[in-house]
Amino acid sequence: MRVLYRLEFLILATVLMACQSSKTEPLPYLGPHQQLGDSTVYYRVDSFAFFNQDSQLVTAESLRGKVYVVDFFFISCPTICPVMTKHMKELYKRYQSDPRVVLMSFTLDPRHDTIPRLKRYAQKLGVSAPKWNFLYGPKEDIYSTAAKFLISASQEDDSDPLTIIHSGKFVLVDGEGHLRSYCDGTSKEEVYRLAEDIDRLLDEMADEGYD
Amino acid sequence: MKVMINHLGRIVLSIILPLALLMSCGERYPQGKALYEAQCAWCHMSDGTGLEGIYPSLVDREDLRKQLWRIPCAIRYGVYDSFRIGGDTFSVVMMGFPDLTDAEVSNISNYIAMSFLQLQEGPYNERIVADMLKRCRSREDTFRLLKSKLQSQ
Repeated sequence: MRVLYRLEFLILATVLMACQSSKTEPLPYLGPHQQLGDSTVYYRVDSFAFFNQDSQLVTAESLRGKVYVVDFFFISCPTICPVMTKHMKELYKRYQSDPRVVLMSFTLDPRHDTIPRLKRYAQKLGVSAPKWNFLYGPKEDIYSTAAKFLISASQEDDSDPLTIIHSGKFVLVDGEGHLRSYCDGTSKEEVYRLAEDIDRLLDEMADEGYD
Repeated sequence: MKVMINHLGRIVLSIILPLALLMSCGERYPQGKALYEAQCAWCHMSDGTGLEGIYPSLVDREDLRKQLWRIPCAIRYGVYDSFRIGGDTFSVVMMGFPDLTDAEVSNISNYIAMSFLQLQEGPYNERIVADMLKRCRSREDTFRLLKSKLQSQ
């Protein structure tokens, strides 16, 4: 009987340890790494500046210490954007009261999606900055910033938003601009998984003394 | 024994058969479902719930149940808001799909009616749809005008 108890204790301890280690295991650092002597320099996005729907400047610097989710969309997008926005709104509701989490949706069609139109869009959706930023800027800057977040986007004909082709990825960025996770923003299951990664990242940051 | 069979027959007829019919409802309009997924679900979503504040939900809409003609009309000609083509302030709520045939519009409408409006029977067929589409001829003009306007841009 005693042996059995011991066995039980062992199993319990193992399970607990397994839980613990999976919880504290840090998320990977995505993108190319650089080896400088003994230390590894991880890829990060450390410079951009765009206006949000309230005409407030949002920069990489202003997001330091925040966990943020990035996607690229445009208002008149007839295909994948509505479902991406729907899933982003799920994240909005989930982290509404947590100021450490920020959502960033960049428009790929600044010619039509002006700041007032982005503002109206956000109002209709029932969301607001600084939790959810709809970002506007010069077209070249937006497309080059998409590339920085490792999200592909292009537009063949400048005047026709229907020629915009872009990925529906959501990318998760940590407090220092490192890319830590991503998912297909059109898949509900994958977005739920991303939310778990957000929670892990928040735990990680709390451990490192961010708050 | 005869009584038993009688009973069994009744049980099959009264419970199992309606249940089986009910469960196969969603598959009664496979073309409607396929077209809905290909054309409508981008905005109205596969489950019909839309995107709150932007694209309306189709689920349990009493107004659509009472005005069934609005579904084929919206599919064929689209939905428009405050309009002024000369001075340029038009707003398209939804673009129409003029290339779909009456039969295809009927199948999509039946799929919507049964899956989202919870109707037991598909209320549409080709003839009824053709008839309903007469009610929204004015939208046809709007659609043509808008199309030529967009093409000339």
